[in-house]
Amino acid sequence: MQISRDDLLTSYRKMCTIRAFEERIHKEFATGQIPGFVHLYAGEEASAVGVCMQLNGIDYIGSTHRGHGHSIAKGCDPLAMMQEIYGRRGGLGKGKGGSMHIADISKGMLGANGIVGGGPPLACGAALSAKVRQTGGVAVAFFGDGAFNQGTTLESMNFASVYKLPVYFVLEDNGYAESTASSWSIGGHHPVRRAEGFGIPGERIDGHDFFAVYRAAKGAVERMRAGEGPQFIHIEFTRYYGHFEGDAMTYRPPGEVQEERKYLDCLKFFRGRVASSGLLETSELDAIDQDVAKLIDQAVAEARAAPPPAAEDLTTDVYSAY
Amino acid sequence: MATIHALTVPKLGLTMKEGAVAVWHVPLGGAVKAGEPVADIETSKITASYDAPCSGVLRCQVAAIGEMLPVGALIGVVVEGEASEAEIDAFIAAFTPEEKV
Repeated sequence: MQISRDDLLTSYRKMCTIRAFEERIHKEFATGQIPGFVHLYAGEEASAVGVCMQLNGIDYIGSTHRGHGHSIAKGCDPLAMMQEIYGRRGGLGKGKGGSMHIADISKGMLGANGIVGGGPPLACGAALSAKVRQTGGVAVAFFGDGAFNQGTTLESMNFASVYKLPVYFVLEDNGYAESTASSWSIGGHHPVRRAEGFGIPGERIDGHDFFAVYRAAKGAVERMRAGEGPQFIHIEFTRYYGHFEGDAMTYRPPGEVQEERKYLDCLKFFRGRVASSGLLETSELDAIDQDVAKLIDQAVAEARAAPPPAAEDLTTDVYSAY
Repeated sequence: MATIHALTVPKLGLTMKEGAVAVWHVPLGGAVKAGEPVADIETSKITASYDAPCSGVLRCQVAAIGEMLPVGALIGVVVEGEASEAEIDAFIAAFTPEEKV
Protein backbone atom coordinates (compact mmCIF):
# COMPACT_ATOMS: atom_id res chain seq x y z
CA MET A 1 0.00 0.00 0.00
CA GLN A 2 1.35 3.39 -1.03
CA ILE A 3 0.58 6.53 0.95
CA SER A 4 1.67 9.79 -0.66
CA ARG A 5 4.18 12.05 1.09
CA ASP A 6 1.53 14.74 1.43
CA ASP A 7 -0.89 12.33 3.08
CA LEU A 8 1.80 11.09 5.45
CA LEU A 9 2.66 14.65 6.46
CA THR A 10 -1.02 15.58 6.89
CA SER A 11 -1.64 12.45 8.96
CA TYR A 12 1.30 13.12 11.25
CA ARG A 13 0.31 16.76 11.68
CA LYS A 14 -3.23 15.77 12.64
CA MET A 15 -2.16 13.08 15.11
CA CYS A 16 0.39 15.43 16.60
CA THR A 17 -2.21 18.23 16.88
CA ILE A 18 -4.60 15.91 18.70
CA ARG A 19 -1.90 14.77 21.14
CA ALA A 20 -0.71 18.30 21.89
CA PHE A 21 -4.29 19.60 22.17
CA GLU A 22 -5.20 16.92 24.71
CA GLU A 23 -1.99 17.11 26.74
CA ARG A 24 -2.51 20.84 27.05
CA ILE A 25 -6.16 20.53 28.10
CA HIS A 26 -5.09 18.03 30.75
CA LYS A 27 -2.85 20.74 32.18
CA GLU A 28 -5.31 23.61 31.79
CA PHE A 29 -8.28 21.70 33.22
CA ALA A 30 -6.40 21.29 36.50
CA THR A 31 -6.20 25.07 36.86
CA GLY A 32 -9.99 25.26 37.11
CA GLN A 33 -10.33 27.57 34.09
CA ILE A 34 -12.26 25.11 31.90
CA PRO A 35 -15.95 24.70 32.74
CA GLY A 36 -17.74 21.37 32.52
CA PHE A 37 -16.27 17.98 31.84
CA VAL A 38 -13.51 16.84 29.49
CA HIS A 39 -12.58 13.36 28.25
CA LEU A 40 -9.21 13.14 26.53
CA TYR A 41 -8.30 11.22 23.37
CA ALA A 42 -4.50 11.07 23.92
CA GLY A 43 -3.16 7.64 22.95
CA GLU A 44 -5.98 6.99 20.47
CA GLU A 45 -4.94 9.38 17.65
CA ALA A 46 -4.21 6.75 14.96
CA SER A 47 -7.86 5.69 14.93
CA ALA A 48 -9.47 9.07 14.23
CA VAL A 49 -6.80 10.09 11.72
CA GLY A 50 -6.40 6.70 10.00
CA VAL A 51 -10.16 6.61 9.38
CA CYS A 52 -10.77 10.29 8.58
CA MET A 53 -7.93 10.37 6.04
CA GLN A 54 -10.24 8.26 3.83
CA LEU A 55 -13.05 10.83 3.99
CA ASN A 56 -13.77 14.04 2.17
CA GLY A 57 -16.23 16.95 2.14
CA ILE A 58 -19.30 14.86 1.32
CA ASP A 59 -18.78 12.43 4.20
CA TYR A 60 -20.06 12.66 7.77
CA ILE A 61 -18.90 11.39 11.14
CA GLY A 62 -20.72 10.91 14.42
CA SER A 63 -18.49 11.10 17.48
CA THR A 64 -18.50 10.35 21.19
CA HIS A 65 -18.05 12.08 24.55
CA ARG A 66 -14.29 11.73 23.79
CA GLY A 67 -14.64 13.75 20.61
CA HIS A 68 -11.72 16.19 20.30
CA GLY A 69 -9.64 13.77 18.21
CA HIS A 70 -12.44 12.98 15.76
CA SER A 71 -13.17 16.70 15.38
CA ILE A 72 -9.57 17.61 14.56
CA ALA A 73 -9.21 14.61 12.24
CA LYS A 74 -12.36 15.61 10.30
CA GLY A 75 -11.10 19.15 9.83
CA CYS A 76 -12.62 21.24 12.64
CA ASP A 77 -10.59 24.34 13.49
CA PRO A 78 -8.56 23.70 16.66
CA LEU A 79 -8.67 27.40 17.59
CA ALA A 80 -12.47 27.50 17.51
CA MET A 81 -12.58 24.12 19.29
CA MET A 82 -10.45 25.45 22.14
CA GLN A 83 -12.75 28.47 22.46
CA GLU A 84 -15.73 26.10 22.62
CA ILE A 85 -14.09 24.05 25.37
CA TYR A 86 -13.45 27.26 27.33
CA GLY A 87 -17.11 28.26 26.80
CA ARG A 88 -16.30 31.31 24.67
CA ARG A 89 -18.54 33.11 22.23
CA GLY A 90 -16.09 32.50 19.34
CA GLY A 91 -16.30 28.71 19.82
CA LEU A 92 -17.67 26.27 17.25
CA GLY A 93 -20.96 26.16 19.17
CA LYS A 94 -20.72 29.83 20.20
CA GLY A 95 -19.52 28.68 23.61
CA LYS A 96 -22.81 27.09 24.59
CA GLY A 97 -21.90 23.43 24.11
CA GLY A 98 -18.43 22.79 25.43
CA SER A 99 -16.27 19.72 25.02
CA MET A 100 -19.05 17.17 24.62
CA HIS A 101 -21.01 19.12 22.00
CA ILE A 102 -18.33 20.15 19.55
CA ALA A 103 -19.86 20.03 16.08
CA ASP A 104 -19.24 21.61 12.70
CA ILE A 105 -21.77 20.50 10.11
CA SER A 106 -19.86 22.38 7.39
CA LYS A 107 -16.98 19.93 7.97
CA GLY A 108 -19.23 16.87 8.16
CA MET A 109 -18.71 16.60 11.91
CA LEU A 110 -22.17 15.81 13.31
CA GLY A 111 -21.09 16.26 16.87
CA ALA A 112 -19.42 14.92 19.93
CA ASN A 113 -22.12 13.32 22.02
CA GLY A 114 -22.82 13.13 25.71
CA ILE A 115 -25.05 10.10 25.13
CA VAL A 116 -23.20 6.79 25.06
CA GLY A 117 -24.30 5.18 21.78
CA GLY A 118 -25.68 8.49 20.49
CA GLY A 119 -23.49 8.61 17.38
CA PRO A 120 -24.51 5.46 15.42
CA PRO A 121 -28.15 6.53 14.78
CA LEU A 122 -26.92 9.94 13.56
CA ALA A 123 -24.45 8.25 11.21
CA CYS A 124 -27.27 6.05 9.88
CA GLY A 125 -29.31 9.18 9.13
CA ALA A 126 -26.41 10.79 7.29
CA ALA A 127 -25.78 7.57 5.33
CA LEU A 128 -29.45 7.18 4.44
CA SER A 129 -29.45 10.76 3.19
CA ALA A 130 -26.31 10.13 1.12
CA LYS A 131 -27.83 6.99 -0.35
CA VAL A 132 -31.21 8.53 -1.20
CA ARG A 133 -29.62 11.66 -2.67
CA GLN A 134 -26.91 9.60 -4.37
CA THR A 135 -24.12 11.89 -3.23
CA GLY A 136 -21.59 9.08 -3.09
CA GLY A 137 -20.87 10.03 0.51
CA VAL A 138 -20.39 7.71 3.47
CA ALA A 139 -20.85 8.11 7.21
CA VAL A 140 -18.67 6.94 10.07
CA ALA A 141 -19.95 6.13 13.54
CA PHE A 142 -17.17 6.26 16.10
CA PHE A 143 -18.24 4.64 19.37
CA GLY A 144 -16.59 3.10 22.37
CA ASP A 145 -16.62 -0.35 23.95
CA GLY A 146 -19.35 0.81 26.34
CA ALA A 147 -21.54 2.01 23.46
CA PHE A 148 -21.05 -1.33 21.70
CA ASN A 149 -23.42 -2.83 24.28
CA GLN A 150 -26.06 -0.11 23.93
CA GLY A 151 -29.34 -0.72 22.13
CA THR A 152 -28.92 2.33 19.91
CA THR A 153 -25.70 0.90 18.47
CA LEU A 154 -27.12 -2.58 17.89
CA GLU A 155 -30.31 -1.19 16.34
CA SER A 156 -28.21 1.04 14.09
CA MET A 157 -26.13 -1.91 12.93
CA ASN A 158 -29.27 -3.84 12.08
CA PHE A 159 -30.84 -0.85 10.33
CA ALA A 160 -27.70 -0.16 8.30
CA SER A 161 -27.48 -3.81 7.32
CA VAL A 162 -31.13 -4.04 6.22
CA TYR A 163 -30.92 -0.83 4.16
CA LYS A 164 -27.34 -1.47 2.99
CA LEU A 165 -26.30 1.95 4.20
CA PRO A 166 -22.74 3.19 3.74
CA VAL A 167 -22.00 3.38 7.48
CA TYR A 168 -18.58 2.52 8.88
CA PHE A 169 -19.04 1.24 12.43
CA VAL A 170 -15.78 2.04 14.19
CA LEU A 171 -15.56 0.40 17.61
CA GLU A 172 -12.88 2.23 19.57
CA ASP A 173 -12.05 -0.20 22.34
CA ASN A 174 -9.72 1.47 24.83
CA GLY A 175 -10.12 -1.31 27.35
CA TYR A 176 -12.46 0.44 29.76
CA ALA A 177 -16.04 1.69 29.56
CA GLU A 178 -15.56 4.34 32.24
CA SER A 179 -14.12 1.85 34.76
CA THR A 180 -15.58 -1.43 33.45
CA ALA A 181 -13.14 -3.64 31.54
CA SER A 182 -14.24 -4.36 27.98
CA SER A 183 -12.69 -7.83 28.28
CA TRP A 184 -15.51 -8.56 30.73
CA SER A 185 -18.41 -6.48 29.47
CA ILE A 186 -18.68 -7.47 25.81
CA GLY A 187 -20.81 -10.61 25.72
CA GLY A 188 -19.32 -13.26 23.44
CA HIS A 189 -15.93 -11.52 23.64
CA HIS A 190 -15.79 -11.29 19.88
CA PRO A 191 -16.91 -7.95 18.42
CA VAL A 192 -16.15 -8.91 14.80
CA ARG A 193 -18.34 -11.99 15.08
CA ARG A 194 -21.09 -9.88 16.64
CA ALA A 195 -20.94 -7.56 13.61
CA GLU A 196 -20.99 -10.57 11.28
CA GLY A 197 -24.19 -11.62 13.03
CA PHE A 198 -25.73 -8.50 11.54
CA GLY A 199 -24.27 -9.33 8.15
CA ILE A 200 -21.62 -6.65 8.49
CA PRO A 201 -18.05 -7.68 7.61
CA GLY A 202 -15.29 -6.48 9.92
CA GLU A 203 -11.79 -6.93 11.21
CA ARG A 204 -9.79 -6.37 14.38
CA ILE A 205 -6.90 -3.90 14.23
CA ASP A 206 -4.12 -2.71 16.53
CA GLY A 207 -5.06 0.93 17.06
CA HIS A 208 -1.52 2.01 17.90
CA ASP A 209 -0.51 1.24 14.33
CA PHE A 210 -1.61 4.11 12.10
CA PHE A 211 -0.77 2.16 8.95
CA ALA A 212 -2.95 -0.78 9.95
CA VAL A 213 -5.91 1.49 10.66
CA TYR A 214 -5.32 3.43 7.43
CA ARG A 215 -5.20 0.25 5.32
CA ALA A 216 -8.32 -1.27 6.89
CA ALA A 217 -10.29 1.98 6.68
CA LYS A 218 -9.26 2.56 3.08
CA GLY A 219 -10.63 -0.84 2.06
CA ALA A 220 -13.84 -0.40 4.06
CA VAL A 221 -14.57 3.07 2.66
CA GLU A 222 -13.91 1.86 -0.89
CA ARG A 223 -16.35 -1.02 -0.40
CA MET A 224 -18.98 1.35 1.01
CA ARG A 225 -18.58 3.76 -1.92
CA ALA A 226 -18.97 0.76 -4.25
CA GLY A 227 -22.37 0.08 -2.70
CA GLU A 228 -21.43 -2.94 -0.58
CA GLY A 229 -23.18 -1.60 2.53
CA PRO A 230 -21.99 -1.14 6.12
CA GLN A 231 -18.55 -2.17 7.37
CA PHE A 232 -17.14 -2.74 10.84
CA ILE A 233 -13.77 -2.38 12.53
CA HIS A 234 -12.70 -3.26 16.06
CA ILE A 235 -9.83 -0.97 16.97
CA GLU A 236 -7.95 -1.89 20.12
CA PHE A 237 -5.80 0.71 21.85
CA THR A 238 -5.33 2.48 25.13
CA ARG A 239 -6.13 5.84 26.64
CA TYR A 240 -3.41 7.76 28.42
CA TYR A 241 -5.75 9.55 30.82
CA GLY A 242 -8.74 8.64 32.93
CA HIS A 243 -12.28 8.27 31.70
CA PHE A 244 -12.66 11.95 32.63
CA GLU A 245 -10.19 14.48 33.94
CA GLY A 246 -9.81 13.82 37.67
CA ASP A 247 -10.48 10.07 37.37
CA ALA A 248 -8.07 8.45 39.85
CA MET A 249 -8.06 5.25 37.70
CA THR A 250 -7.99 2.88 40.65
CA TYR A 251 -9.35 0.20 38.28
CA ARG A 252 -6.05 0.12 36.35
CA PRO A 253 -2.97 -1.63 37.70
CA PRO A 254 -0.23 0.70 38.98
CA GLY A 255 2.21 1.60 36.22
CA GLU A 256 -0.09 0.48 33.38
CA VAL A 257 -0.36 3.91 31.79
CA GLN A 258 3.38 4.59 32.13
CA GLU A 259 4.18 1.28 30.40
CA GLU A 260 1.66 1.96 27.65
CA ARG A 261 3.00 5.45 27.04
CA LYS A 262 6.44 3.90 26.65
CA TYR A 263 5.56 0.94 24.44
CA LEU A 264 2.17 1.72 22.87
CA ASP A 265 2.45 5.13 21.27
CA CYS A 266 1.08 5.63 17.76
CA LEU A 267 3.20 8.74 17.23
CA LYS A 268 6.43 6.93 18.13
CA PHE A 269 5.44 4.00 15.89
CA PHE A 270 4.69 6.37 13.05
CA ARG A 271 8.01 8.18 13.41
CA GLY A 272 9.87 4.89 13.54
CA ARG A 273 8.16 3.51 10.46
CA VAL A 274 8.57 6.54 8.20
CA ALA A 275 12.16 7.15 9.31
CA SER A 276 13.32 3.55 8.88
CA SER A 277 11.73 3.28 5.45
CA GLY A 278 13.12 6.64 4.36
CA LEU A 279 9.67 8.07 3.57
CA LEU A 280 10.08 11.29 5.54
CA GLU A 281 12.96 13.09 7.20
CA THR A 282 12.95 13.33 10.99
CA SER A 283 13.55 17.06 10.59
CA GLU A 284 10.23 17.40 8.72
CA LEU A 285 8.43 15.76 11.62
CA ASP A 286 10.27 17.92 14.16
CA ALA A 287 9.19 21.01 12.25
CA ILE A 288 5.57 19.85 12.45
CA ASP A 289 5.94 19.30 16.22
CA GLN A 290 7.12 22.90 16.57
CA ASP A 291 4.30 24.28 14.40
CA VAL A 292 1.74 22.38 16.40
CA ALA A 293 3.16 23.56 19.74
CA LYS A 294 2.78 27.15 18.53
CA LEU A 295 -0.76 26.52 17.34
CA ILE A 296 -1.80 25.10 20.71
CA ASP A 297 -0.19 28.01 22.60
CA GLN A 298 -2.11 30.37 20.36
CA ALA A 299 -5.36 28.42 20.85
CA VAL A 300 -5.13 28.58 24.65
CA ALA A 301 -4.06 32.23 24.73
CA GLU A 302 -6.92 33.24 22.42
CA ALA A 303 -9.47 31.16 24.28
CA ARG A 304 -8.48 32.56 27.66
CA ALA A 305 -8.72 36.13 26.38
CA ALA A 306 -11.98 35.64 24.45
CA PRO A 307 -15.35 36.82 25.80
CA PRO A 308 -18.01 34.39 27.02
CA PRO A 309 -21.48 34.34 25.41
CA ALA A 310 -23.60 37.41 26.24
CA ALA A 311 -26.92 37.25 28.10
CA GLU A 312 -28.85 37.89 24.86
CA ASP A 313 -27.25 34.77 23.30
CA LEU A 314 -29.32 32.67 25.67
CA THR A 315 -32.37 32.70 23.42
CA THR A 316 -30.62 32.31 20.05
CA ASP A 317 -29.99 28.98 18.27
CA VAL A 318 -32.43 27.18 20.53
CA TYR A 319 -34.60 25.78 17.73
CA SER A 320 -33.56 24.81 14.24
CA ALA A 321 -35.77 25.25 11.18
CA TYR A 322 -35.37 22.58 8.50
CA MET B 1 17.08 33.98 35.60
CA ALA B 2 14.90 31.86 37.83
CA THR B 3 11.31 30.99 37.07
CA ILE B 4 9.03 30.61 40.07
CA HIS B 5 5.99 28.38 39.50
CA ALA B 6 2.92 28.04 41.69
CA LEU B 7 1.49 24.62 42.45
CA THR B 8 -2.21 25.05 43.08
CA VAL B 9 -5.11 22.86 44.16
CA PRO B 10 -6.02 21.11 40.87
CA LYS B 11 -9.57 20.73 39.66
CA LEU B 12 -10.29 17.01 39.45
CA GLY B 13 -13.66 16.37 37.86
CA LEU B 14 -16.76 18.42 37.27
CA THR B 15 -17.98 19.24 40.75
CA MET B 16 -14.80 19.68 42.75
CA LYS B 17 -14.67 22.97 44.66
CA GLU B 18 -11.95 22.27 47.24
CA GLY B 19 -9.22 19.81 48.03
CA ALA B 20 -6.33 19.09 50.38
CA VAL B 21 -2.83 17.70 50.02
CA ALA B 22 -3.02 14.13 51.34
CA VAL B 23 0.66 13.39 50.83
CA TRP B 24 3.61 14.96 49.09
CA HIS B 25 5.47 12.67 46.70
CA VAL B 26 8.37 15.11 46.50
CA PRO B 27 10.13 16.23 49.71
CA LEU B 28 10.96 19.84 50.42
CA GLY B 29 13.99 20.65 48.29
CA GLY B 30 13.36 17.66 46.04
CA ALA B 31 13.20 17.63 42.23
CA VAL B 32 9.79 18.05 40.60
CA LYS B 33 9.37 16.78 37.06
CA ALA B 34 6.60 17.95 34.74
CA GLY B 35 4.02 15.21 34.20
CA GLU B 36 5.10 13.18 37.23
CA PRO B 37 3.12 12.94 40.47
CA VAL B 38 4.06 15.65 42.97
CA ALA B 39 1.30 15.07 45.51
CA ASP B 40 -1.94 13.20 46.19
CA ILE B 41 -4.95 15.47 46.40
CA GLU B 42 -7.89 14.48 48.54
CA THR B 43 -11.41 15.73 47.79
CA SER B 44 -14.78 14.87 49.30
CA LYS B 45 -15.07 12.15 46.63
CA ILE B 46 -11.64 10.78 45.78
CA THR B 47 -7.94 10.90 46.38
CA ALA B 48 -6.05 11.31 43.14
CA SER B 49 -2.47 11.80 42.16
CA TYR B 50 -1.60 15.29 40.91
CA ASP B 51 0.94 15.47 38.10
CA ALA B 52 3.24 18.48 38.26
CA PRO B 53 2.59 21.03 35.51
CA CYS B 54 6.22 22.21 35.66
CA SER B 55 9.75 21.08 36.50
CA GLY B 56 12.16 22.45 39.12
CA VAL B 57 12.91 22.22 42.82
CA LEU B 58 10.08 22.11 45.37
CA ARG B 59 11.15 25.04 47.53
CA CYS B 60 8.05 25.46 49.65
CA GLN B 61 5.13 23.28 50.73
CA VAL B 62 2.63 26.03 51.46
CA ALA B 63 -0.41 23.89 52.29
CA ALA B 64 -0.49 21.76 55.42
CA ILE B 65 -1.40 18.09 55.00
CA GLY B 66 -5.17 17.74 55.17
CA GLU B 67 -5.84 21.49 54.96
CA MET B 68 -8.96 21.99 52.77
CA LEU B 69 -8.39 24.77 50.24
CA PRO B 70 -10.38 26.00 47.25
CA VAL B 71 -9.41 24.95 43.71
CA GLY B 72 -6.66 27.29 42.50
CA ALA B 73 -5.26 28.01 45.99
CA LEU B 74 -1.50 27.88 46.40
CA ILE B 75 -0.14 24.61 47.77
CA GLY B 76 3.53 24.77 46.84
CA VAL B 77 6.27 26.66 45.07
CA VAL B 78 8.55 25.17 42.42
CA VAL B 79 11.65 27.05 41.28
CA GLU B 80 13.56 26.55 38.06
CA GLY B 81 17.01 28.03 38.59
CA GLU B 82 18.12 30.00 41.65
CA ALA B 83 15.83 32.11 43.84
CA SER B 84 16.37 33.47 47.34
CA GLU B 85 14.06 32.78 50.27
CA ALA B 86 13.03 36.44 50.15
CA GLU B 87 12.01 36.13 46.50
CA ILE B 88 9.95 33.04 47.29
CA ASP B 89 8.29 34.75 50.27
CA ALA B 90 7.45 37.71 48.02
CA PHE B 91 5.99 35.34 45.41
CA ILE B 92 3.78 33.69 48.03
CA ALA B 93 2.67 37.04 49.47
CA ALA B 94 1.78 38.35 46.00
CA PHE B 95 0.01 35.18 44.83
CA THR B 96 -3.64 35.56 43.90
CA PRO B 97 -5.66 32.64 42.52
CA GLU B 98 -7.03 33.05 39.00
CA GLU B 99 -10.66 33.92 38.76
CA LYS B 100 -12.87 30.85 38.62
CA VAL B 101 -15.19 30.09 35.75
